[in-house]
Amino acid sequence: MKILVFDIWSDFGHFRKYYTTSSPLTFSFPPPPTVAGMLGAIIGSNKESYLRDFSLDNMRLGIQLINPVRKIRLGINLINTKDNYWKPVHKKKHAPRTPIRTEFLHNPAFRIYIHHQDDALFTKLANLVKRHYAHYTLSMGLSELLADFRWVGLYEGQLRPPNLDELVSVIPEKYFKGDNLILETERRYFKERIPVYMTPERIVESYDNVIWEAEGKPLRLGNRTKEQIIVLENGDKICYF
Amino acid sequence: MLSTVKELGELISNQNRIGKLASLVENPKVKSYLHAIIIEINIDSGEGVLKGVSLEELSDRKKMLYLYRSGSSRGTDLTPVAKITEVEKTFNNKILAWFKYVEDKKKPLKLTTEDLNFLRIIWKILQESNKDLLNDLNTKLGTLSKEENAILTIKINNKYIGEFELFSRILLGLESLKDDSIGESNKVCSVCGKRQEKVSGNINTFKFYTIDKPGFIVGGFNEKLSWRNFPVCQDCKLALETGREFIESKLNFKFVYGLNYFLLPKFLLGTSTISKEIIDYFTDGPKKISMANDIVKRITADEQDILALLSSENDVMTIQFLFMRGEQSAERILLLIEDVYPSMLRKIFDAKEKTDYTWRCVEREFNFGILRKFFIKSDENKHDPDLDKYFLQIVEDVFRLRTIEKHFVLKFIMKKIRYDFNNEYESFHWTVLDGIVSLTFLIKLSLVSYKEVKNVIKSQFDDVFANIAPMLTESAAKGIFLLGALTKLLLNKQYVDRGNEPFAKQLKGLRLTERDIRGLLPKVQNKLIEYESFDKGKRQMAEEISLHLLSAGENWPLTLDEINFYFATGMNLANLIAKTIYPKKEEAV
Repeated sequence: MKILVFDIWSDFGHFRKYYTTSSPLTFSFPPPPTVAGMLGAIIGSNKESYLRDFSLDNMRLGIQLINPVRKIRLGINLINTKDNYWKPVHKKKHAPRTPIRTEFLHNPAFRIYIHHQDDALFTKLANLVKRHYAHYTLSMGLSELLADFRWVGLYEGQLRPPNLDELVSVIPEKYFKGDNLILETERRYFKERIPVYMTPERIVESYDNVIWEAEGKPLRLGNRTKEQIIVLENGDKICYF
Repeated sequence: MLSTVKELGELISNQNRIGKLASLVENPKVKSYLHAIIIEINIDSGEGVLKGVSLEELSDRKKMLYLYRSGSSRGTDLTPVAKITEVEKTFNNKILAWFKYVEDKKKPLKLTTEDLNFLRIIWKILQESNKDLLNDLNTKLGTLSKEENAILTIKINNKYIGEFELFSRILLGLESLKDDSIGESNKVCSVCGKRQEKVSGNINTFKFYTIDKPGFIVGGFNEKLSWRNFPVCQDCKLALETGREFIESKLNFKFVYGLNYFLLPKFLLGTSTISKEIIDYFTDGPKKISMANDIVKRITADEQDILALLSSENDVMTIQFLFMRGEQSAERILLLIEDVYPSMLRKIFDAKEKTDYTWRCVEREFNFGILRKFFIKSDENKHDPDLDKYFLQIVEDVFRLRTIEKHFVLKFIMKKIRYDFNNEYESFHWTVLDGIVSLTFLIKLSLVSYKEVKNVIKSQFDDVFANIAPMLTESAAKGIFLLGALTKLLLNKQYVDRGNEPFAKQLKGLRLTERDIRGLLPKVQNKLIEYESFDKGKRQMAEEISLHLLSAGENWPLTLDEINFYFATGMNLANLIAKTIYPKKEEAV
């Protein structure tokens, strides 16, 4: 199977944790529905169709952290929409803006691995990425946080059960069976619950815990799982959603 | 983070067998709310009589009797119990309005005629005696001190409302209606990840999730559909509430003055691998532990700091630090430090121990309160702290073991030192020591780096320099440090002879440049000669200062803040230097 590999990076990123609004925190990497949005931006899928085009039903997706996760907090002024109206001037208790302290990722960079069942769509995406052409401007979560992307390669990939392999991608919880995650010193393991599968109606149908290493170092996984990993011809091994 | 709160909530619920109602009922005894003003009503053969108004102290044990559950700030609460803001407003908008609201919702609440009749009798009495009641309530409230507040509630036939099954039923019913208003059936819960019969988007366990502004509702700004953003099932909601209450009461610690944090444990591989002591701690609360340990090492301002205890655990659990601040009805997250491993805590405590050992001679121990001193206000005249952001950034860097820019820390340390020096505060001495201790801690933790410079000049003060290494590896730094000490000896002499320290004016408010330092040595020397105090010991010091400054050459690789920090350090450790040059306790002035 063909795997498209490309990098995305930016100065700042923000992928809001769904349980925060007035003090938004960010996930450490883009969850699959967000990556679907990024892919949709490249090929020009609209808001209604990108979740269908890049649904996990018809693609395999792996995400790798390239830079260590570093989070910072900045204040941003949002338009105050309390009580369903906005006034451009301060009146009574209603200020025109509301300062929101927001958590951002600093210098985020990710490597995206994709295989898509739709050959035409996959070829189109690969060509656009290779030409560094995006239909809509790519951003790292928010429209203000512009992102860039870079072609890495189109590789042949094989499915194989894990066997104490060093996996470069983040690992979804479905891969864990008992204690098959090999805990190593000098590795700092992080776990986060992220939305994984979102329908075009924007209803999340599945959430998953994902484990990764803080600096983006590879993790080892034993073979006590039914799930298979993808081994690329360049030797990289990844888990997929 | 939410999974952690939920797991903790389940652990507590299972252990203490907390039911649904108990999870929902809130303890009204919070902060200044210490009393209950009770409207006493008697109902006999379908007739109600107002008995009077009484006052009692709130008690944690009576939580289920008060049956308090807050509602929206503009609507009513879920029972006829409310926290008094202004008596008239609370009585009308919370108590009377509750009866009207329940009357309106009688169908979805499935209230029987008997239930309704009972409620109508109470409602009627309250309405009829409105004026007298308000007077009585105001009189009772007036007996309390200004710092204390009260809740308003009702007793019927000498029974609290929690003793009536009807009020419990209504509370549960109203809560369910609230959930249904923004909810959907047969959807996946974002907390447990399972498909559930009913999920709701009306979650206010932590108020950093609010949907009071349409801009917060992604995917269409439609409040009715906001459950899609954060769907939570009933069981998870209750577990979250129990977890939150437990965290609030038992895992809420003071980090430094003015900053509290919640400590949230995360058990990576379940609770079976964690020691019983730790589990007990997280289920019983901190008091038990602090009693068991006579001497507890602390890095925060909390008497019950258990970080030292947690640091002895294996890396099969992590802890999270959640710093929050309440702002009106919302809660703002100031900082969330996730996944701090016990091994990282161990490193922090090791650095603290090494720092304390290094500075045992000045009897100053490191804790974050000492560092906080430099990161409170950008201007001492400001009313409120405004440097929380910087302080929390450093705290995060410490717990993440991330490099910190030396000059950034020094800038704030020097700011405070200069302020104390220029205002001639006695705290100047302690501020400088706290600055050294803080910087030493960061150096021991390898977060602040200093370039190693080969020591070329053998010095009789090498023992003192060793304590302050690697800060004083540069020749120039050593020279400045010793000059600071010599200057202090001069100031001491002036104070003894004249009762003041006129030479302090020569120190330019601790904004000395390289040029000033070079010019200062002959001035100090000259003054000491004038005061007939330039003895052998001081002469040796002056010689050594000259040697260091000469060997440092021109254009020292030191910033203005560094130069003055070493100078101030020298001034404040002059006693240590004096002990070296006057070993037989000769006069040190």
